Amino acid sequence: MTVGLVRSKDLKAGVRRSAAAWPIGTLRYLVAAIFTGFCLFPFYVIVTTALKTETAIFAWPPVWNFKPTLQSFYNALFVFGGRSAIFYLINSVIISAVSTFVAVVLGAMAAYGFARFSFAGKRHLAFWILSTRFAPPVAFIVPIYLMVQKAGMLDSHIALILIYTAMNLSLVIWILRGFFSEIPIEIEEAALVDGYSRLQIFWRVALPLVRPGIVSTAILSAIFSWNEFLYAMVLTQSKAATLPVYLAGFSNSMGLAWGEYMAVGTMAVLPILIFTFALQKHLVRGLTFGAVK
Amino acid sequence: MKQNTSTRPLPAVTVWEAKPQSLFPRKRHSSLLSLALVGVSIGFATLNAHAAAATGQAGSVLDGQTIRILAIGDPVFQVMQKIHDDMEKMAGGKIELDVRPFDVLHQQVLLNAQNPTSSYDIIAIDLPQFGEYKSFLLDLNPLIKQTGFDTTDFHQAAWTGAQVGGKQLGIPIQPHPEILAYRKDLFEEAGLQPPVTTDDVLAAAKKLHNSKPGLAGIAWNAARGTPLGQTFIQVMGSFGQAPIDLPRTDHGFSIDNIKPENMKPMIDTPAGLATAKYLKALMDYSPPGILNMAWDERVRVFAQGGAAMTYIWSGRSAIYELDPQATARGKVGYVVHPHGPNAAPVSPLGGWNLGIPSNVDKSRIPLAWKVITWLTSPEMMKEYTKYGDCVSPRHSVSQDPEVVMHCPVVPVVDEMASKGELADWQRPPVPELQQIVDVLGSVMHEMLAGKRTPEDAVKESQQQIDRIMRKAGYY
Amino acid sequence: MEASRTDYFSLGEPKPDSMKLAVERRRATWLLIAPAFVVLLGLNLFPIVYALYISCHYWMLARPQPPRFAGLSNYQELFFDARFRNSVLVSLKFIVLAVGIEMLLGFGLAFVFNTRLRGMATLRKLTLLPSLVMPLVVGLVWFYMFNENFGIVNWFWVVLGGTRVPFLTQGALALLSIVATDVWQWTPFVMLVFFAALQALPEYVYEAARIDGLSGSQIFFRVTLPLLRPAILIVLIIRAVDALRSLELVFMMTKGGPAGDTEVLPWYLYTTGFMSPDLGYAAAMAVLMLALVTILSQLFVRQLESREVTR
Repeated sequence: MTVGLVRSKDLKAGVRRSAAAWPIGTLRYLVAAIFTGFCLFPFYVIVTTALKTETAIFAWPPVWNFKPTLQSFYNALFVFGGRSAIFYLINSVIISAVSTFVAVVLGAMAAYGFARFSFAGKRHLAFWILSTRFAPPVAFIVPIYLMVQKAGMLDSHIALILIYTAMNLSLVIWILRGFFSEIPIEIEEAALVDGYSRLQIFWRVALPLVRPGIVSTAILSAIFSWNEFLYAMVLTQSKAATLPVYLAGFSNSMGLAWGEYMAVGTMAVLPILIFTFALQKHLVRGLTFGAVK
Repeated sequence: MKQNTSTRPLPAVTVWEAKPQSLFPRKRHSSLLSLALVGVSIGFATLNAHAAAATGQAGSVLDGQTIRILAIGDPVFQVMQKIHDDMEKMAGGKIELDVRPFDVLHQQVLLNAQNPTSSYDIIAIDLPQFGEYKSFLLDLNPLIKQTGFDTTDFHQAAWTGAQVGGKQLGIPIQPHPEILAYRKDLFEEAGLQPPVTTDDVLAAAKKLHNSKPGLAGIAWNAARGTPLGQTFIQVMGSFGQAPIDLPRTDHGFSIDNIKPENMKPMIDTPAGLATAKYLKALMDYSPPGILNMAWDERVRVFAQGGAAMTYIWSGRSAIYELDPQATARGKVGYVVHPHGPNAAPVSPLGGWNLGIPSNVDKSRIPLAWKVITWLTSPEMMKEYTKYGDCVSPRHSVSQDPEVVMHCPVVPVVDEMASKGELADWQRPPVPELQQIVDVLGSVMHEMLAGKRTPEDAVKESQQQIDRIMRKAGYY
Repeated sequence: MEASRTDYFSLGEPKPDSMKLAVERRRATWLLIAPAFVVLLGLNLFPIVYALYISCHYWMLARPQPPRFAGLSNYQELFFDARFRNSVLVSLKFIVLAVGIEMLLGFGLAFVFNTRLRGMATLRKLTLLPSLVMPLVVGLVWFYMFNENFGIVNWFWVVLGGTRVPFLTQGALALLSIVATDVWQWTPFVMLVFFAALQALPEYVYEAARIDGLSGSQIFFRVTLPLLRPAILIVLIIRAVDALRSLELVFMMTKGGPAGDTEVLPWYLYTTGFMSPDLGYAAAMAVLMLALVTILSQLFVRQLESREVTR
C-alpha cells in the first residue's frame, strides 16, 4: 500500500511511469476489475431475473443462457391483482419531483442568505440545519405520523412532499452555500451599485451562476425522495403510495412473485443509475456535504 | 422462502368452540328465498366461465366500477390472484386486490383506520383480530337485513366468530381449523396409530425421524414472531389452557364477555411450561431450517415428503391435494390437535373474513356489500376449492361431492365441528392478542434456539405480557 | 468565518441612506431564510419535542382508549427490556462490522484506484453505481441471491466445494449476510471519498518528505495518514449514522430473525410503534436514539466547523 502510494505520486508528477507499471500495474487492474465486477453483479441479477421465466428463476444451478421474456414486466404493470406498478411509479415521480422543486427553491434562498448575509446566531442556525441531515427517519416516524394524522393528511401526496422537502433541505442548503460562496463577490457588488435590490441580485445574478450546483443537488434530492421507504410505508397506503410501498408488499410465501418484483426493482433502479452516472463529479461533494470536494 | 414473518398465512382463531352444538346452523328462516334472489340479482349465476365472457354487462356485480380490496397471501386470496382476470370478467369491473404479508396487512389495517377516508372498500380480517379491529369495522347487520342475505348456510361457529357485541363485523370467506396432518402410508408401515396425544406425536416423530433419507418427524411453525407465537398459544390450548385468565365452561373457556380481570396472562402455568417443553422436544425431530419455518413452508416440506406429520390450517391441504407432483398427495390422514394429559382434544378455529372499514366513503358501501356477497357466494366458494383453497364455511359447498373429491379434508373438518372439537378461545379476540403473540414469538424462539430454558421462557413471557396488560390499564 | 468579506453590510455602511439599506438587508435576510427555517422547525424541531411528550404516555395506535400520562414508565420499561438491549447490541455489531469493513476496503481500494493507468477512471465511475440505489431493491436482490435453495451466492459457494449454507436463517451468518450487503452498497462511496481526498493532497508535501529522506512507510504514516484524517473522520461519522438508521435491509431480508440476531434498533422501534402498536414505547426508544445520533452528529459538525475555520 505504501509503495503504491508513493508510486502514485510519482505518476501524478508524470515520472518513471513505465518502470513501475508492470507487476503492480497489472495487480491494480486485477483488483480494480474484480471490485468493479462485484459492484455490478447484483444489477445483472436484478435485470436478468426480471427477464427470466418462472422456472429459470428457481433453477439450480442458475441458468445463464436463457431467452429473455417481458412477461414479468407485463404482469407487474398490467396484471398482478392489485394496483398496477405504474400507479406507484407515477406517485413516486410526482412526489419526488415536487418535493425536490420545493426543497431546491427554499434551500437555494436560505443558502444564499447564509452565504451573503450576516445575522445574529447565523453559525448556530447553519449547523443546526446541518445536523438535521442526521435525523434518522425512524426516530421521527412516531411524532410525524401523529402530526400528519391529526392534520388529516394521511395517505396524501402533500404530506410526503413536505416531509421529503424537510429531509432534503439541509443537503441543498449546505451544498449551495458552498457554491454561492465561490462566486466572486465583486459581481454582486457591481449589481448592487447598479441599483438591483438584494432579492433581485439573488434571483437574476447569483442563481444563474450556480446552475451546476442546483442541478446536482436537485438530482440528489430527487434520488433521496425516490428511495425513501419508512415515511412512505407508514404515511401512505394507497392513493399516494410510492414504489417502495409496492416493493414492501413483497411476500416470499407467494414464491412466484420474484420476476415481477425484480421487474419493478429494475424500474426503480434504472433512472437512478443514469443519474448517478451523470452526477459523478459532484457526488462525493454532495454526499459529504461539501466536506470533501 | 425462508422468511419467517413475511407471510403469515393462516392464522386462525376463533370461534367455533364455545358452542359445540352450534354446528347446526341457527335457524334464521328469513331466507332461502331471499338468498336465491340476492344470488340472482348479484348475477353470480354468471359465475360459470361461459357466461362470464359477457364482460361489463349491465347488472353485473361491479357494473364497470372498481373495487379495492386489502387482503393477505392466504389460499383464498392467492386463488383470487390466480383467476383474477376471469373474476374481473365475471364481475364486469376492475378488482384491485392488494395482497400483503400478514404483519404488513395488520399494520396497513391499523393505519388505514386512522385515515379520514378508508383507502379500501373491503379488508380481510383474521378471526382473532375482530377484538382489535371492532371499533373501526362497519356493522353489517343492517345490510344483511336490508338485502335479505341468507346467513343459515354458514357454519355456525364461523359465522358467530365474526360477531362482536351483537354486531356482525365480517362475512367468513376462509375459516378453517388448524389440525394435524400425518402420512397414512408411513404410519402404517411403521405400525403406528394416528396420534391422539402430544406424547403420541413425540413417539411417532421419534420413530419416523430419519427413518428414510430426508424424512423428518414433524414440520411446524417455529419461525420467530407471529408463526411461533400463534403456535404456542394454540398448542397451549391443547394442554387445556387459554393464554389469558378466561372463565371456564364445560367445554373450555368462554370469550363471550371478557372482563378486565380476565386479562391476566396465564403463560407461567403448568400448561404453559408443558407447552414450552413439548415444542422444545419437537425440535429434535424437525426438518432443517425449522427455526424459520412458517405456514407455507411447513406445508411445502410436508407435501414434498420431507416430514411425516405437520400442523396445518386445513385449507392449505390443497397445496398437495391438488398437485399431482406432490409426494403426500392422497396419502394424508387428519386428526384434531393432539392433546396433553387431562386435556380435551380441541383444534383452534381461525381464518379469514371480509369486512367493510367504518371510515369508508358512505357511497361505496352498497358496492362493497354487493362484492362481499358475491365473493362469499356458494358458487365462488366452490370455484376457490378448484384452485387451491380447501375450505368451505358453507354447508351447501362442503357437501358438494365435487368439492369433497378435490379436498378430502373438508368432510374431516365437518366431522370435527359436529363433535365440538373446534374452539376459538385459544386466541381470544382481545385487542392485545397480537402483542401477546409477539412476545411469545420472540421469547419462545430464544428458548428453541437454546438461549433460555423453558422455565425461564414462560416466566419472562408472563412478565412481559403482564406489563402489556397493566399498560393497557386492565388492572 | 469569512463573514466580513462576503457580507454586503460593509458595502452599505458608508452611504447616507444606510438606514434604508440596513432595513432592506434585514428584510431580505428574513425572506430568504425564513421559509426553510419554518419547514425545519415544523418537521424537525417540533417532532422532537412532540416525541418527548408522546414518550411520557401510554399511547397505543388504533385503540379506543385515549392516551394516558405515564410519567417515565416507558423509559423505566426500556431499561429492563432485554429485547431493547439486544437490539442496541445488534445495531452496534452491525455498525462496527459494516462500517469497519467498508472503511478498510474503501481505504485500500482508494490507493488502488489512485493512478493514471488507462481505463481506471472508467472502472472507478462504474463502481459508484450501488451508492444511490433504492435500499429496498438492494435488500430484494441480495435476499434472492442469498437464498438457500436457488441463490447464486450459494451456487458460487458450492462450486468452490462447499455445501449449501442457510445464509439468512442461521444465527451469526444472517447478520454477516446483511453486513455483506451493506458493504456492497457503501464501500464504493467510502472509496470515492478517500480517492478524492488523495487527489487533493498537495504534491509539494511529498517532495519535501522525500527530500527529507523519509522512507515509503514513513511517508504513509507521517504524511499521508495525518493529511487524510479529516476525510477519515467525516466518512466514518456519515457512515456510522447512516448504518445506525438503516432498516430496509433487515425488512427485506430477515425481519429481525433468526432469534433476534438481526433485530437492529430501528427495526425494533418500527415494529413496536406500528405493529405492536405501542406508540408511546416506540417514542421513548426514538428519544434515546436521537440522543445517540445527536452525539454523533455533533462530532461531525465539530469536524466541519474546524475545517471552516482553517479554510
